[in-house]
Amino acid sequence: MTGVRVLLVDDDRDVRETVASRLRQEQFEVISCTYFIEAADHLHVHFEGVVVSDFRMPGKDGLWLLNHCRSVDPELPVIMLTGYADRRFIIDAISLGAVTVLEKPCSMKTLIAEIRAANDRRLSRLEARSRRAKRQLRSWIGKTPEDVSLSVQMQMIEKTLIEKSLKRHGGDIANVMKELNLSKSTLYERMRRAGIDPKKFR
Amino acid sequence: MKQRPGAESSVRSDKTIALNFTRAIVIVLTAALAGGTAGLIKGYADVTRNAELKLGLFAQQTEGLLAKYRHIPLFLASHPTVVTATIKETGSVELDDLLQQTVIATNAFGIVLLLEDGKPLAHASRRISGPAPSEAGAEKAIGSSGILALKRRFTLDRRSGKRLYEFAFGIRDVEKAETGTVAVYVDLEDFEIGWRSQSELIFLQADDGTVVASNEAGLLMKKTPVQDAAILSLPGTYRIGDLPGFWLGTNKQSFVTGTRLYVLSPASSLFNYFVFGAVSIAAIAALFFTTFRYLQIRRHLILRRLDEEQSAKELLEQAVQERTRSLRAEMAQRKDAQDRMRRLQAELAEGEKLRALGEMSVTISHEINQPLFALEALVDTIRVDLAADNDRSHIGPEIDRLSQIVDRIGDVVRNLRDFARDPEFEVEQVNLLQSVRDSIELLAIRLSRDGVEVDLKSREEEGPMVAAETVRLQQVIVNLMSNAADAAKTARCPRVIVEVAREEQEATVAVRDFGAGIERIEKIFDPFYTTKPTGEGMGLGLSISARIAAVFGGRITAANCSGGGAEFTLHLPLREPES
Repeated sequence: MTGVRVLLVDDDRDVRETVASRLRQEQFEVISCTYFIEAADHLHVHFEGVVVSDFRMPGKDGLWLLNHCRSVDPELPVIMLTGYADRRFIIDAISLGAVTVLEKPCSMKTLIAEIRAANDRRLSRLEARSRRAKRQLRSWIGKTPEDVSLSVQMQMIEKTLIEKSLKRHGGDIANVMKELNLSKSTLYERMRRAGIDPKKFR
Repeated sequence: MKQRPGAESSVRSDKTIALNFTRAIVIVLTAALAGGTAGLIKGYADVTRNAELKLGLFAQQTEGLLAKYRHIPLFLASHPTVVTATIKETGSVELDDLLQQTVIATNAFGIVLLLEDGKPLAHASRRISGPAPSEAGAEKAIGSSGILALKRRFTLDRRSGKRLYEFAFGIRDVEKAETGTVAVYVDLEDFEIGWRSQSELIFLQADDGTVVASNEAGLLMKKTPVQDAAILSLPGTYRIGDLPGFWLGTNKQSFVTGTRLYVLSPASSLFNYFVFGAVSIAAIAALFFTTFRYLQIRRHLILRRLDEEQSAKELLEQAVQERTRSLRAEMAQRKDAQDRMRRLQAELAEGEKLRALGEMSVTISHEINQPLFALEALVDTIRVDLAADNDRSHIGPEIDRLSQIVDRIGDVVRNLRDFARDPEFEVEQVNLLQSVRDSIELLAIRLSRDGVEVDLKSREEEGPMVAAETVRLQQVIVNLMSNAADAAKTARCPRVIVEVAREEQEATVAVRDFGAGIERIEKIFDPFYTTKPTGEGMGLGLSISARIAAVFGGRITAANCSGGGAEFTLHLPLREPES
């Protein structure tokens, strides 16, 4: 089992530093950020960890961050901290998929427990996701991913996705372009490389 | 709309005036007629009375004169010289003297002595050179009965054309035989002398109707019948011969001479009386009427003016009432609007208060919960460290940190208290430029730490003196500058420009940064409004500064600059030392 990774976002230096130091005692890997902009750099679909964010911050606030996380990965766990209990904010945060909303000052025990739980869920979720992807890949290319190079894998996935889309739309190039978000020339170039004839799908 | 009483009455008054004009003419004419009639009556009475007075006077004169001459023939007829001369039938010097003396003494026209056969014996005349009245043809004074009598008659002297009155008396001797006649003649012109100055027509009429004496020459020696005209059965109205018109007057018959004396005035003389009466009474009537009309018109005018004043007053009153009504309505409306507005304002203020309270509670709870949370984390860290029982070297710094955070909570509370408390201080003379310099010095460490440069610009070496209190003024300037430094430290250009300037009435300190500017500049002075990260401000600084500036009689203005960043300007009233 890997360690716990925490992305801590708070504009209050005292809070940021003391909480980080306490979490480090728990052997957590803590990334401290003052603003949303800083935090956004660390957020990606494979982020192995938990986001802990203050709500009230100058500029882009906690809700903004939450929204951003949802767009990056809907399953990214976010624990919100708030200096005051605003019912509306709590409802917003929960409906946007926050793991929980903790009211400052909360006990460090609760925070740490919540982080651990969320982290565990996150890691198992990522693992499942990875297994599913491998399975799918195998069904598409007939080989375990480990046997072929990444570029070959990518080409195969690309071909599979284009063919699936063409089948769905009955060979309608315009709709495929729209679905895969590709330009006409790129789409034709990819189809040529993969040896797909769109006429066959009509 | 109420009928104006003035309009109607003015029409009526025009009619009244027209009517009154006709009436005035009728009244004046009636007055003239009445006056004329009265004049006529008065004239008739006057004329008649005058005539009677004059008649009395002249009748007496005439009687007197005639009576005076009556005795002269008697005296001469019995005089021995005359008797002797008639008997002798010769004249004498003595006789002539006697006759001449008598003429002179009596002022008779003449005396003639005739013999019994009618031959003239002697005569005497008033005019010595003139002809004797003998040729008047004195008649024998003896009547057929032989009784001696005084014979009287009117006669006309054929030679001189004089009208004469003759008294004749017979002369007798001792045997009572008639020897001659003596005749004395009186000139009738002597009677007329007194009449000529009279305005009336006066004449003496003999019993045969001949006018023998008159002040009117046309009537003389003419037979003039006098008829009683009896106009309006009034006595004393006559028609005289062929004289035109009617005459008024009276007459009297002399018992001595049998003559009738008339004193008359032409009826036309009454015309003057008529005219006089008519004119005077008409004038009086006209005067009365004019006065009456004048008073009436004046009264009418006064009434009309009063009417007009009344109606004007009524109009004014009406206008005033209307205006009052509309004003009252307007006032009511305005009051309604004001009430509504006050209510709205109260509601707004209430809402604003609630909103501020909400904002404040959010800020305060955030401001306090934040360090509390940090404390919780720190305390937990220390506890774990203590429990771990290994390296305790970092516990000391952790506890220092702990007291810092506690201080921070204390600051929050102190800030709140400062805000709630009204600033109390004495306003004095402070050098603004010096204050700015001191403030920069106070902030020097912080500024250098944040890497912010400060440019101080001032046109003067000596700064302007302003009304302020040193410490509070510095607090405000420090607040403005640290705000600017906060904005500047994250900006591309970490610079703050502070400019001290002197205006006409005030001095200013402008603090400009090149940061992001202020998003909601209208809220910048609201308490608990902040653009800073948590822990760096409660949003009270500017609000407190603004209040301090207001106490100094100044203000703080804020603006976003076109080149980016914000500029805050503190305006303070100048207080220069009296030189």
